[in-house]
Amino acid sequence: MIEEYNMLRSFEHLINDNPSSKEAWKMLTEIGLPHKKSEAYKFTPIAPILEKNINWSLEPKNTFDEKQLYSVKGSHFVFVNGILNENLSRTQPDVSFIIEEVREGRHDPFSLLNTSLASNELVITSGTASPIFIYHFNSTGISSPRIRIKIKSGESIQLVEKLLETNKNTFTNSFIHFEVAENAFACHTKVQNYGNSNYSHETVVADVENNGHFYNNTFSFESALTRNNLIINLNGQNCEGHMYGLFLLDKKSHIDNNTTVDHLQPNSFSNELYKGILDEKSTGVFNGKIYVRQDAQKTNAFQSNNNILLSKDATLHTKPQLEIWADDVKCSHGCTSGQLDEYAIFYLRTRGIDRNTAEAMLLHAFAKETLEQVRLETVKDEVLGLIDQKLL
Amino acid sequence: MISIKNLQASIKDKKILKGIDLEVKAGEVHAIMGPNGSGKSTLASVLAGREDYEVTGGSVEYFGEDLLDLDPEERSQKGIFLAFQYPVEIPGVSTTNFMKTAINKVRESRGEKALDAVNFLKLMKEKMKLVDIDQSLLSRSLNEGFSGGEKKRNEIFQMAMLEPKLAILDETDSGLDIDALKIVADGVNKLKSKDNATVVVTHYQRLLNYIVPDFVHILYKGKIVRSGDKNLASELEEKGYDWIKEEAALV
Repeated sequence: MIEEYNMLRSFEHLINDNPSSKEAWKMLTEIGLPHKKSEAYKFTPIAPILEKNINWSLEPKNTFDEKQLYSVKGSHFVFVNGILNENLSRTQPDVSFIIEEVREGRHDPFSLLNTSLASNELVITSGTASPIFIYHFNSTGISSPRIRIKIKSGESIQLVEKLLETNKNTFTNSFIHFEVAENAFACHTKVQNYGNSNYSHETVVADVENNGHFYNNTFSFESALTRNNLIINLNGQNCEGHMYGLFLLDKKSHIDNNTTVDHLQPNSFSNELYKGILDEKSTGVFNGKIYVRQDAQKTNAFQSNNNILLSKDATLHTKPQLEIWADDVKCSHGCTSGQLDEYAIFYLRTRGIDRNTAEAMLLHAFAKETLEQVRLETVKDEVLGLIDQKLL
Repeated sequence: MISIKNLQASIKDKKILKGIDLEVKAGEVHAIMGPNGSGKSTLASVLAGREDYEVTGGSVEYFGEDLLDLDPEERSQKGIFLAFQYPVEIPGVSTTNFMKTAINKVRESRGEKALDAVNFLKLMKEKMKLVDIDQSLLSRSLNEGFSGGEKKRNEIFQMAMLEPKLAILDETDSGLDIDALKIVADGVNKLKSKDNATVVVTHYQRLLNYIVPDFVHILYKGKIVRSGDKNLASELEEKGYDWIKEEAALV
């Protein structure tokens, strides 16, 4: 019997009665959740942590508060405990969407778990002129939101996703899939600021066709444990994939950013910039994979991960991973980790600025670079505000 | 204004300053000269409060207060300014924002209200003119990618903004061509008044053609070995530092 089967059994009564869910469940019970020796979860032993900390039988609370929605004109989709609530959602005429029965997804354990438990899927079927906001108000033991975004040729979308957990000891296992058609554009921004007893596993997949562009911005502040799986498949030629991330952690927050960009065809471009600031007893993990397949000649792929550790009790694991089968490519990666520059702090102090302010100024400047691709001012201001709140 | 007595300082157990005595009064310009490694920059850093140096003896009184007891920011708030030999590049912080924070921290320490945007800009414009610095430079990241001359001019601009009582210029002439040197010196001269004092730390005499000192001190092996008026600087220029070294060896 596999090690985590006990925990899986507590979900058994939640499995959907449709063929895809049943099939996914069957596969999941065969492979199990990642165990202690799983390489992909080496620094984030998520299954035992969930087993110990999640209250699977939590009574749902009504946690929706309209004030928590962004006051920006656009379509606001509200999920409650993983299920789209159309009464609470407010949409613009430029958005078209349908609710579908969940279908087969990826075959990694948490994607399979999502397919097993997600009751159905929100499918946004075209690009939009106004931005889209997706909120998750979660208060049950496990929530499994499932979303698909189809952006047709020549269309674009700006999508902001936010998770608001108000009950303690909750787990969210989300799955969002972007289908970026030829010449289409998608920008996905996530703000992760949860409570210190909230857990999440969030999978973002983008399939990008010829001349398509996909951007992901992930800003992580507080969480008991969050694992982000970001997978960008550059399926066509002249595609672009951009990944920006900031994790600014304190207390015992644990964030694991696991990103993969897969170059399958010639002439595509990927760029990745992740920055970490770790204080107190927090843990940050960055694992960036770049695959350049044999056909993907003339690929340009850049990756960098820079970190500042503010406490000797903070832990950082960073691992770039490049696998290149093509021979005519330009790839670079680099990671740094260190402390704040004392000489720079001294320089600021000689201008009358106290040490705390000087440190905050330097960290703010360091962090700000990851916000370059956030085009919605309200969201940018929110993230800058969270940065200041953490730093000052 | 400042009275330095038998000041001794070391870095990582290496003694650099071995007993400095110096008295600077309002309205005066002092030049501190000396060969490389004599302790000039250390003296400047110690006065600004750099924590890498340990003061092992002596005292520094600044307006009757024990300067060595103060943090670098408190020294700045009380009117001490160090123009750096190597100004630090700080990506992501513009000079404008940096100066706004600095000015308001200094004002706060004096119990004054923060400057609003309008008055801050007015002050900026006035000081930019004084030191002939371009607006575009100030909206860029602090010192990042600046030329040597631009960095030094930015230091003098910050000095103009903060209006210090005691300005210490650490090798402000290093890396400057003659035109940049003139502009920097011109800025310093314009900021001079009977109420403030300037200490110019330099290896070469040429800066002193433009910022004329009232007193010149020669620092060698951590001690002031000679003091005089501006003629001492000319003498150094003619003879080099060797005669000082020889003289010191005899003592």
